Amino acid sequence: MRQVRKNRWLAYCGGLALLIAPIASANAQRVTYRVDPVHSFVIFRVKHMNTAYAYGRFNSFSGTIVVDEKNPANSSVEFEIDANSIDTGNSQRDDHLRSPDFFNVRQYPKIRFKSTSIRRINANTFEVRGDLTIRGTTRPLTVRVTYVGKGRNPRGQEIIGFETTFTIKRSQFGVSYGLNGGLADEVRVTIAVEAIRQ
Amino acid sequence: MSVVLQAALTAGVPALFAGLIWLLGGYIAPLTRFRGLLSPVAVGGGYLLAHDFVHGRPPFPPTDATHWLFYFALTGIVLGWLAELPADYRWLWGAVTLLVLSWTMVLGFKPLIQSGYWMPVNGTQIIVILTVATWLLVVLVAPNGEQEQGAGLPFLLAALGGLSAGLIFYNKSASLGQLAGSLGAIMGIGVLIGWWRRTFRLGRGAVSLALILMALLWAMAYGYAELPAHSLALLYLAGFSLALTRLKPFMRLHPMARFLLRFALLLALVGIPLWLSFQAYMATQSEYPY
Repeated sequence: MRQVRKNRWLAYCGGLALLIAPIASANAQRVTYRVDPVHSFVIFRVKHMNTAYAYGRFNSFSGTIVVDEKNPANSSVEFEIDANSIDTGNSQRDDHLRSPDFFNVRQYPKIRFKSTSIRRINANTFEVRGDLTIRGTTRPLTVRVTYVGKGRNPRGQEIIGFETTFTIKRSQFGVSYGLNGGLADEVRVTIAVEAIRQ
Repeated sequence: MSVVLQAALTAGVPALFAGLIWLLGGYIAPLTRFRGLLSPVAVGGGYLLAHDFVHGRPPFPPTDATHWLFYFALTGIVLGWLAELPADYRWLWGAVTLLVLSWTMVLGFKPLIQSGYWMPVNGTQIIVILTVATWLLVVLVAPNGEQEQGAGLPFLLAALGGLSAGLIFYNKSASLGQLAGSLGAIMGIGVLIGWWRRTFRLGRGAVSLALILMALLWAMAYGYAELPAHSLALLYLAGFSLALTRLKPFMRLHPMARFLLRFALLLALVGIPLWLSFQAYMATQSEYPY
């Protein structure tokens, strides 16, 4: 009788292990990377007076990239930019960009992106769909992301690199000031990240 | 559209609208109560036009807290009508104004507490102080709109609007500055009408609405842009100075002396911080002209 119970218990454990194994294996394929702000860049450009491009950057941001190399659909991206860290090389202009005329950073200190789906286009290119939130307005955004490379940093940590360039219309996020005054609606954004495996 | 043309439209169209409403009120002068009802429409409608030029029509509820001003201007017209109530019922205007003002301040500044820019206790204190100060300003100065006739009061309010526009502009919000400038322009058209028709009165409703909108713009510039607390306090003091003429010692003065005294006070109270802000702006040797 005791032997029968023991065998049944072992059978349950075996079944459970069979059930958990694929999940554990799936988790093993998903690798989490944290964006290294020192070696990553968020740059934007916007046309001024319909004449020339003005460039700027955000100096403070963070993000997490979960990569599933075998099944990219299981991957995800979350990225958060400190809107207060805007830097165009002119303190007067930066203060103006922080004001309610543009980013209204006191009310909306963060710009956020959260992916909703990811699919592979070719070996090094992915299509990332997600929600971009600027100044309290969330809109869907689809971007093409290029896988740049993989390696190890001087500390021996595994690192991975991606880059994307996309264009948004600032008016769609309520950042409409100056549209008639010579600052274009279209803003081209380039995000280049190096992320460290966790 | 050029920047200059846009700025001219932002100030000019609301001013023209207000002027037309006031002139319409002038033609039906015998119906003084009706004229009192039209006057807040001139200010509130003019502000709505200005807001539309600067920001477009905001969604409801607005995502940007500063856009609550657009919806306040709409309700403010009703508050302006209440201000024209006979003296026996005027307490109702005071009470409703306090209620609406409190709610507008909470809606306008709660996001700063939610975003963590203001600590909850400090933020609440600031909201209470701003609400009480604005309510007192309106209650104390609104009667001048009924008592004073001619171009004097519109000129002082236009100067207050114009100077505060400059002050807000140099403290990093061109759009809030433009809106304050538009209020100044609306009052500026009142100066022309007051010059032409010496019996022209702005009325309690128009003065109260113009002052609340100006004070809300100052408060927004303090909360969301870079207007320093001392400049905000001086702007409020400048507003309070308009009511000085209702104090007994000032009532004995010649009307021109009363006007010049208040104008000098206004220039000192707002002109000095404006000059300091301008100097600070120039000191950065920035080539950024907005």
